[in-house]
Amino acid sequence: MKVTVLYFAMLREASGKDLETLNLDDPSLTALYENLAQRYGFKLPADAIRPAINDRFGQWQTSLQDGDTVAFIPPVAGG
Amino acid sequence: MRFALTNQTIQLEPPFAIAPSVGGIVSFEGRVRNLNEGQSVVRLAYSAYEALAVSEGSRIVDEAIARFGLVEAASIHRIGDLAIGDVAVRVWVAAAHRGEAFAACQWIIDEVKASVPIWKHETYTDGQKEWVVGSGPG
Repeated sequence: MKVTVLYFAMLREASGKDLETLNLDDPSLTALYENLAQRYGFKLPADAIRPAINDRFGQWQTSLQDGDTVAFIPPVAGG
Repeated sequence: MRFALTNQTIQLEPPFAIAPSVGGIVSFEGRVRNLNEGQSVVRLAYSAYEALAVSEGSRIVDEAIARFGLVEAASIHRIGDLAIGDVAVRVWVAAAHRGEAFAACQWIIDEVKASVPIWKHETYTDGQKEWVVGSGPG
């Protein structure tokens, strides 16, 4: 399945990209994050991250589907 | 949508019409200050996941209206490069009475800081750069 990943803040800096489309076999969000963390050297553990799917906050246990847009939201600092 | 992002100066006046039932308006203004955790800030930039920030921020303001029985409320947050003293965020709350207006204004800014996907990148006088973490007070 094809999934688009959006990167923000420190994850954008670490990956060097705003977004990318990946071909995945595993629909697990945690597996995807662990893979990307290893590939790009993300320092944040998954429990510091909130996943978002298709522009909404989601749950780590949600299975990804073809065409989904995923973002891993690092700790926020508005205000 | 009752929450917006802008790269322009945030207006002082509330972005909604004031109904005749409104007895009090409370607003909060968050500014860029020159010190963060004891370090002198020379430059600061906010970035956001815009689609999610607008929907999550609007969800928070809508929830405040229901929870506190407000007449109307809104919030606008800056993105892009800001200077010391610039207004980074405003919240406006209009209610029949001041009690719920004060309480709701505090609740909205706390919730915005805790969950709206906006990030702050600071540059300090010693050249160090940092993604600010956390939604602590202030």
